[in-house]
Amino acid sequence: MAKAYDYLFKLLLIGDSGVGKTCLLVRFAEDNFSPTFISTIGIDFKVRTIDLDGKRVKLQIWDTAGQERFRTITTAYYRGAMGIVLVYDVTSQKSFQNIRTWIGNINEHASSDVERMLLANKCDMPDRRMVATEQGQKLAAEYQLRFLETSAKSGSNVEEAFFLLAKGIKAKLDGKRSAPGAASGAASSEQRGGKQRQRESGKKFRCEIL
Amino acid sequence: MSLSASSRSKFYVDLEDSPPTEIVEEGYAVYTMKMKKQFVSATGSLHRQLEQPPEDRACIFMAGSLEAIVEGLAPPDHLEDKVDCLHMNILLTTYPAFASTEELLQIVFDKLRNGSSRVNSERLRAALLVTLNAWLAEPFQELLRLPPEFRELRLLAEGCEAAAAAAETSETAGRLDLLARLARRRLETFGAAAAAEASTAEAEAAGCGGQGGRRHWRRVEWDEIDDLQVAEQLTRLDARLFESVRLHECLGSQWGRHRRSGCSPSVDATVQQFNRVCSLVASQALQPGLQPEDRAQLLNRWIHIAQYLRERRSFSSLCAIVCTLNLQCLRRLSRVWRRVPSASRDLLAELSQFANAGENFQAPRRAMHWEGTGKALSRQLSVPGGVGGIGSHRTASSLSLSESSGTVPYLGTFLTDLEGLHSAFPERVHGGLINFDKRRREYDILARLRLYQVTCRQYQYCEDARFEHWLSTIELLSDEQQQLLSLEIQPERRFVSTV
Repeated sequence: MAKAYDYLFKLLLIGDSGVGKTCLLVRFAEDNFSPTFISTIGIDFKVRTIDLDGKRVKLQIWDTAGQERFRTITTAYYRGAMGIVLVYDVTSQKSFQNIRTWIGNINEHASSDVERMLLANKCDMPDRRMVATEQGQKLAAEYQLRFLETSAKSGSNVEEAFFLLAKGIKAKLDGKRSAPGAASGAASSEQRGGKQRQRESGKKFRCEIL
Repeated sequence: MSLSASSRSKFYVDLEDSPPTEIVEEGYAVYTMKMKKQFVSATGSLHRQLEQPPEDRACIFMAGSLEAIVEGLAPPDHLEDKVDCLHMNILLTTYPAFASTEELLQIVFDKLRNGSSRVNSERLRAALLVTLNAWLAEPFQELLRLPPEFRELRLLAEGCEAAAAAAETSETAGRLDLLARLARRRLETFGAAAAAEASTAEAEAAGCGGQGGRRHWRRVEWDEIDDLQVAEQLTRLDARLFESVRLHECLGSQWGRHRRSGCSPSVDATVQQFNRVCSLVASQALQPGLQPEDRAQLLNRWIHIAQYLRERRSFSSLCAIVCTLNLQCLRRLSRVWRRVPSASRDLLAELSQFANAGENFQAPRRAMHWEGTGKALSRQLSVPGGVGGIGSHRTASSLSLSESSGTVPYLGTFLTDLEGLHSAFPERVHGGLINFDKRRREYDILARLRLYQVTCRQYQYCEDARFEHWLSTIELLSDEQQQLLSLEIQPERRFVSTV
């Protein structure tokens, strides 16, 4: 049976509480956003499928909002993430400083080939801005991250951010394994996601003898 | 139209094909008129009348001014109820998101005195009296319990006294007088409880002051405590904290605002305990000077403690332990894990589903819903050989859910859902009216938490001094120390699979 998409990307939103992660997600999901609550699955954030170079890319975006202060929980989210969006709030110096901690966390727990991106959110509040654009750019350059200033409120750069990240992941996958004839589907894109992920899905919690 | 079978012969029809009508009263309130669900026979013939009597229509309060929300407590005229119960529950649970206690009380007393031009004043008065009574009882009284002054409670008492003096009928005056006396009694008990708490805290602070020799690991103590004891004590601590979570502090508008951190102390306390358990497990397993066998034994014990927690439906600490055991700094210690019995490793793999973040934490949510509501238990009793939900295959574990105990959920997913609602819906709609529909959605989640809070009281574990002593003497390692020690224990940094 034909799949509705060619790629399935799992993305993760990370950053301090209150930086507007969920707002970014809500803004991006827009029409597809289904604010219904089902007791066993929680708030149902419908994912969005975008078009990239003629391919249908389904974006599954996970959000840790509300759980940032539970220490080990975010590490559970990293598993299988192909792209991570690091978000800080330009009106909060602290949320910017903590980006380094989050990066350390990602390095420790996420797959090493995960595509990362830095977003400076709430740029619609120039009078309350505490973090200059240059500071964000500098940090992004230091860690070789893509960088954009966004506003979940106005929608500025939100679309661009997710597209840019998806493009990066796709380029990485296509570059890693040129698959002639383009095998389609989630399975193929996941298979291309690197050995480590494959190993994880097979025997998740087993110890490996070195 | 969607048909869903509720039994073999009856169907309920959700009349979603009839579009809800919006009724807007400019600057006051917005309602949605909906047809109530209809009963139809198995043949599908639908007894639906075109002209619905008021009983079959539901007028749903969507948004309004604070005044309209208060007036919304009066039920529609065709109902005999004294108060719109759901409306009252939503209001008393979520009002801190849109009004201060003082503002709300002001309007309540204004309406009690002056009645209303929009709704039947008599019915409104009756509804307000019921609401004030509920406010002074469990579970809503927590909102009036703000030490040290209990200013809001005092305001309520004074308001009732003033309203009683001005009441038109002696019956209303009598009821208000009773409410005032109830409020005064609460003032006394809350004050006494706060004083007792303060003196206990003082005594504890004095007792813990001079702790020398904390660097010595109390291995003997740890060995003296058995796994079951640890699980029960962790459950006791979690249950106590969860039970005292003030639900409104979980709302997206309260929790998770970085500029206002510290405004959700009861949620903070739950998070701190969760983090403490994480640190505890990691610090113990990584403590310096142990042989791989000792470390393996420690890990093995924590896996069994996790299993006991699961049996006790104590999901918060279970999640903390399982997440920690899967942390990279522990997972990479292959030489240690090799010495952990394979049955225990299988058990951990199974328990790890309780901390699986995939599909928006779907697996843990299902498990919590399934096991936390006692469904698993009834299934276990009726179907030989198993419990549904997570881990349908029984590997190393033989699950015996304890029948009499409660449930402590992991709070994090609830907070994420509430944060999601908060981001998805505006606070104000229709030119500044309070979005009450958003509060209704939030209340759906908070009401489930409240149910769990009630089940929490079923735990009957007594405080264990030895456990408390052991807990207070454990030295917790920082994240950095954990990383360093992990590399010291097993130098080469080669990643193995992680959770």
